[in-house]
Amino acid sequence: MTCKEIDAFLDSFVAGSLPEATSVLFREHLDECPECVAYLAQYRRTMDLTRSAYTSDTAGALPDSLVRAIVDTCHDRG
Amino acid sequence: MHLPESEIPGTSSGAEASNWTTSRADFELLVREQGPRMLSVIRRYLRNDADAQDALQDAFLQAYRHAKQFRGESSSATWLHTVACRAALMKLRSTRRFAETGELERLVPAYEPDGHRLPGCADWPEGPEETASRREVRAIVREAIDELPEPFRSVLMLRDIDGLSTLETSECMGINEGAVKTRLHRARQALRTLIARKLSACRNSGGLP
Repeated sequence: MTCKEIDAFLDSFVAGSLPEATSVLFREHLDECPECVAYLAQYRRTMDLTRSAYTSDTAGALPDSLVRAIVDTCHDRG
Repeated sequence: MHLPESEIPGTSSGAEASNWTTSRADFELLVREQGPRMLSVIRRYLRNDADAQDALQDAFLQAYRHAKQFRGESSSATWLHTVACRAALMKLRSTRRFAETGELERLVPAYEPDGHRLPGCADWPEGPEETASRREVRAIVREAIDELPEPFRSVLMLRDIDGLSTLETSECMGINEGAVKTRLHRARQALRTLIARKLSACRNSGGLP
């Protein structure tokens, strides 16, 4: 398996959905390629950072005018 | 939004979805309770306040119309979260800024004829992430996400931030599930490059300890 093929299978490998035979080849390549090991770690780290990028966000209370507009629209058109 | 089911609040009013269309007071309470969270979600996709509020209204209208069909397989907050994502994507697609661009090519790896990865996709620097504050790193990551071209940015946000399934994402985006997986993978690769570059730039400029 080449580095290009590793990259193509990365998301399936991380998701645990790679077929067993392909997974074996994938791991064999990782055993011999420190660059791909590093790239896989960075790919996983990217996913972790993405998940935590917005966890603390919440908008403040909606303006009364917006609430009224939403409720009125829904009761008129719903 | 990767919250365990137990941490996702339902409606404190206890109003069942079926009451939303019969009790104006219940529905208003729902809008006040869930609206801020839904608006936060929508604003990640739509920077324009007017567009975001339009999408929020559309989301609640969809929720109102389909309230009787909500069978409670998930909490109402979870369902409304998905409804908000759909409304945001619909609005984004209608603004015609939702066009695939070729900019992604410079952010994903390129390869030699023998399949080896070519250098040039940015090295992930050692150090800055460990010593920077969470707020600083989060700011860098958000900035990088904002720089992803559409529709890759939206796919990444729907799947990796808002936790929609591949099927739900395909329905939001109007593409098949295979295309969702491909675009998500390329978005992650591009984001990796953007984050690595920003971490390196910060380290080099002394912006991070």
